Amino acid sequence: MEKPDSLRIAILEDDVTFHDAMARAIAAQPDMALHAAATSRAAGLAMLDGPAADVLLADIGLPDGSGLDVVRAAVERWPDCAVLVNTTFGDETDVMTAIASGAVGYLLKDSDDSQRIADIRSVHQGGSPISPMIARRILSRFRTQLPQPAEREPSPLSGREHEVLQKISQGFTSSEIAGELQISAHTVQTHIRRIYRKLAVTSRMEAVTLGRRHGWLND
Amino acid sequence: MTENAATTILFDDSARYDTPRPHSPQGRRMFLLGTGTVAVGLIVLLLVRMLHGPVFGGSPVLWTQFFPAAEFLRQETVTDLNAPQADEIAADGPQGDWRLATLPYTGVPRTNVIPSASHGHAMTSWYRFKVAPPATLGKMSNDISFYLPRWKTEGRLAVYQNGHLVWRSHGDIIWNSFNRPVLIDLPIAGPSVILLRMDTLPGLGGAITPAWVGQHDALFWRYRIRIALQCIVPGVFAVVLLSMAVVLFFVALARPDSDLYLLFVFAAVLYTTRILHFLGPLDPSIISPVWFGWATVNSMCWLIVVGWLFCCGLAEVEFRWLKRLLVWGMIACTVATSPLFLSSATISALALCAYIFCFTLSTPTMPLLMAAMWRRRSGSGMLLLFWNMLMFPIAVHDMLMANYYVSIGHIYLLPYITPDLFLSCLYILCRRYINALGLAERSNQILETRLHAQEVTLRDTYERLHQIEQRELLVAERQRLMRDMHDGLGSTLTGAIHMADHAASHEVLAQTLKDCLFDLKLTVDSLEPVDADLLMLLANLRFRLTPRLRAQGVMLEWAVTPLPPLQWLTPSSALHILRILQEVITNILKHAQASHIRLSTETEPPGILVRVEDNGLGFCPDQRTNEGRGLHNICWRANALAGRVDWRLGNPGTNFMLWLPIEQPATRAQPGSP
Repeated sequence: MEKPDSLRIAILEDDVTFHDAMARAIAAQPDMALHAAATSRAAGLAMLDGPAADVLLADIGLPDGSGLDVVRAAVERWPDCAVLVNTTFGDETDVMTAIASGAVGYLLKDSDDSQRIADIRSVHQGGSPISPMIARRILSRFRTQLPQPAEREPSPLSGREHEVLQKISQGFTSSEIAGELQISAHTVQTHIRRIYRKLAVTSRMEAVTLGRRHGWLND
Repeated sequence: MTENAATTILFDDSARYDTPRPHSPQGRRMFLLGTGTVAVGLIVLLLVRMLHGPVFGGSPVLWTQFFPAAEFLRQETVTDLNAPQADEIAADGPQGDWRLATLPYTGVPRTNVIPSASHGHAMTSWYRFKVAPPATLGKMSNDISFYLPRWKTEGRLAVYQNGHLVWRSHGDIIWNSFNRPVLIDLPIAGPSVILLRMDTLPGLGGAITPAWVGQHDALFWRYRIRIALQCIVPGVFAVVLLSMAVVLFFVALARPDSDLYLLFVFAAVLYTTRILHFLGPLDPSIISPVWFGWATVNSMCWLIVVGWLFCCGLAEVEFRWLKRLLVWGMIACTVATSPLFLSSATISALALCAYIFCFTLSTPTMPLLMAAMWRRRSGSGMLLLFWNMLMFPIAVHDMLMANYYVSIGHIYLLPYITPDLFLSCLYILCRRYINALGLAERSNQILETRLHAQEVTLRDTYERLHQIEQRELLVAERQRLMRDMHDGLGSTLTGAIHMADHAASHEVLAQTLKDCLFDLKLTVDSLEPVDADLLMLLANLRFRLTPRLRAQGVMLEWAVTPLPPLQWLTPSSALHILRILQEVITNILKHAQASHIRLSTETEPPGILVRVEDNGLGFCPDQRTNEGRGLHNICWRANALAGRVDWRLGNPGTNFMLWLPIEQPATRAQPGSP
């Protein structure tokens, strides 16, 4: 049963094997609890009506639609919940769209239980997993973002954030970067989380700008 | 109206090229035609209004005396025509056989038999008018004028009132006058006798028209209309045609095939020369009379020839022999009549022969030209020919008039018919010009259409080529992936199935499947765009390897440095590199028992170096023949990348080195399968 101060975890996943594996791994942790579970987009959206979880593990390819809809809704409805998307390859396309929709990271399906549990903990503590490919993608995305009025523009990457992304894209780990920049590994994690937020905001702004440009939105 | 219509059309079409038209072409044409008609109507109305007063509503108090007949006396005298006439003569003129002559009267008929030696002989004709104003006139006005619409002779004229000279003609005796009306103020207002003395060269004729005496205001309009019709209007025509000729001359200058334009220019110049004849009197101090006569007579003949040539050119009919005959005949005539050989009087007498020569030769061709125009359905051409043929009776009329067979009270008509001819020419030329503009516009459109069509074709071709290229690219990529799946994933999975069939341990099976997934991940990574950045590719490899290294407790030292971009880093090259490093690191993990791996990069133009060092058991390729297949794969892949690999024994462990070129050699042999 749910312990009072345990980490509440919600799962949106249609892959029964992965779902069961995750459920077992969570049950094995004394400070974690499976808060809710859903196996389709509709059930996922319904799940958001219930009490908020601390961490949501969401699959993107669902039988009745895209898990990204649930991710977007979760950011609105469960603002304090950290959303992770489940992915096999951690490839650019899936993860980037998920982050742009408000996810703060991804969970590799093939990594072992302990790694996944560690990732969940890290996310809850404000960290965000990142791969060199994604770092690279974010860098180029911020380089070529749409020109907008200055007051609406979300602050572009700070120098430090830029530096961190650069290092990650060259293959350095968080702790290596922390050592080189003489900051704590936690700070590096915070940077990455902030970068993700900016990416999501930028994506929203771009959507709005695009909409306005095409006359879909009124001022 | 011909001119009006032609310019209307001309402006209408030229406007198309200057400014966008606010209205439709029809509307614009109607507007311009309407405006033109209104303007012409207004001018006619004004003229009528101006003339109405003096001509029709003439004040009844004005007095005129018309002389339809005069007393006439002819004498053969010995007169020095170069000396001025006497200032005073007997009031009633010389004694002799005076008789009454009805005016216009040819006092001296033309015989065209010029005495070989006249020696000062002249024919002198006297005309006497008795002026009898009413007695009341003296109180009203003393402004009395004598008006003679035309006098014509090769000689001179003097006018006396009561024996006192009041006017005498000036200028050359041959060319001074046949066309200029005379209006003289008479000094005596009361009853008087007016005597006209006309001296004529022997063999040539002389005549006068009826005369008027009366108050100036009653006569001046007759004089004005006459002088306008006989002198001013032909002069204006000449100026107008000359200015058109100037324009056409420059067109002819710019266009190579513009003989018709040049003919028009010639005709305009000839007409102007001819018109000088009508603007007399000629002052011998300005132009030599003989040259003047030569120029005016020849210009008329040439005008006929040029007009005929124009018609031929327009109908595109060639009368080669006739053309030669006319042109060379005219050249001969021009030379023969030149003042170098003949006197002024002879030229004047020969003029008629030259005119007849031109007309008789050119006229028979007219039906042929007309037929040619009819075939071409050229309305304007036929109109031109009609004018040209109309010229014939007009010319006959003028000839007869010049030779006293027709009343000299008439007006010479050739100056009027010739501009009409010109206007038809001009109309035709304008139509040609407009047609040419239309043609140019159409060809532009055709060109544009063709250009567009070619553009479309080009785009299609490009599109097709692009598609073919894309297809080939896809096929190549598919083949690469197939080969990769076949060699890697496929064989590993087959192996796993065999293991499962033969009840291999779970760990081994799980490891095999993990290797399989790892292979697949590298394949996926190779498809991610890396923008020619090898470091990116290496970074991703590290990201993939980390869980395995961590599981085996091997520490990976990451010592990369920024590398120059490798433009040849396509997905297939990327996969080659990933597979090489995967094989090398897997070997280390499997066999070297190392605890530390160091991966570093260096730039060594013209290539880059990727180094993998471990601290495990030393390894040299030739010592481990059972790993032959993997090593062979590495060598083959490096070769496909135009790179090379090398192993060296380290202290401890092994140093692996992958060298890759920064620029790929232009023609790299397509690598075959290992």
